[in-house]
Amino acid sequence: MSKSATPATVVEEDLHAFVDDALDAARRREVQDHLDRNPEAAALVASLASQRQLLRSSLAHIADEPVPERLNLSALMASRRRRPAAWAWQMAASVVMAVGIGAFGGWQARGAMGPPAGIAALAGEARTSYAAYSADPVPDTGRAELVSLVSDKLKRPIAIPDLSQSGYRYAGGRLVATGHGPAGMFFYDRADGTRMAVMVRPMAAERDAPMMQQSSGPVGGFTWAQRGLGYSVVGVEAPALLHPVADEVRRQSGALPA
Amino acid sequence: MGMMAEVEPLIPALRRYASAMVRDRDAADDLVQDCLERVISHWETRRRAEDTRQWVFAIAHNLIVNKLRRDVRRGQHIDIADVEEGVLATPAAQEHRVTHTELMKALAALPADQRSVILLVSVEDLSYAEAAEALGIPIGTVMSRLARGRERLQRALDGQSAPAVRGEGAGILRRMK
Repeated sequence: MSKSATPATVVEEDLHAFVDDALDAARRREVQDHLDRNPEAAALVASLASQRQLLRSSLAHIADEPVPERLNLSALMASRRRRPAAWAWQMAASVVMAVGIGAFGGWQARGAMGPPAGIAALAGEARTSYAAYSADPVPDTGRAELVSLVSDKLKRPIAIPDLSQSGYRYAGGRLVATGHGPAGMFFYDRADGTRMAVMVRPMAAERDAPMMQQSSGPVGGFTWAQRGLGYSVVGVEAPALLHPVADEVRRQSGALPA
Repeated sequence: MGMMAEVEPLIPALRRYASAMVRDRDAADDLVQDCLERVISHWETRRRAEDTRQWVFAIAHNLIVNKLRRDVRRGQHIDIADVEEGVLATPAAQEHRVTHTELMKALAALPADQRSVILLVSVEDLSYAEAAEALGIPIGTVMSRLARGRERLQRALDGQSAPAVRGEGAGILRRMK
């Protein structure tokens, strides 16, 4: 093909793209022609190229260092495989303890030293389950299937809250065991990958309770009960971020049939 | 290809990118570790069509930006005005050799969004399109941040306080001789 049209004007972006080798061959030739005729543009390109080279040479040593042990990918994968087992064991131990207290600790159960009951118990269960499951890939049970499974186990109609308006995409859910029977746990991811969860289970003790904030280490959230169902919104985000999410869950669950 | 084969070769580059973004080497390795843990746990759920390097850098970048925001909230950020003053006071303009420390200071003085584009394109060899995907911004924004960031970085390295004259890159030309 012959050169029919005049080349497009060379703009600043072309000079950067020239330095970054991001132009196709034809445009590269046009920009090269421009540089040959235009010493100021050529000087700018030389300056950009030397800055690029300075950055690369000054930072190269970091990538040349040996990778520290804690960033060893195989070790990270192995420790991740071990972790769920460790959690399962701890969960089992806490269930055994709860059962033990129930079996022979009945005479002191309602004392000040007794285990937490009502929404305080639910809050603790939600934190434990979040810590145990939030790093795992969520089981790919279909949404409808999960709703019917959880509703069946909880003997109540349960809906999975839609939190897309609050910036959280539903990622999946599962049935989890608590010291007070089965619970549904639904996971949500924010665009940056931060995960939070909503736990729901029937309440025998406190059938209605106002929203309470709780935290333990990095995991915290908001827990409440309405019409016999307890809810806990848990995650690692700041309470100020989780609070409006909890309000939204409460608003949606308020519309459920009792 | 498996995760080991695809991700392991990226770790040195991730460490370099994180270090240049947050300056503190330990904090940078914490971020890389966090990033790798997320890569491991989300490997099966990533979009198959997506380029692995771009995907991994996107995760690292989000974690870095979150950390920088947290630091700002906790008041741990370096006051950009102070840094700029420090950079301007360095004798880099007299002698043409720029030390690693001076370069890191000059980089740190850039807004994080310009710094990330410069590093991904100039150092990590992401194409403009890949950088746009990794940062979740349009390609035109990549190019404008690149141009503004490079100009500003050059001013800092030159130790020049007056704003450069736009258009012909007069500020950058000053050192060319």
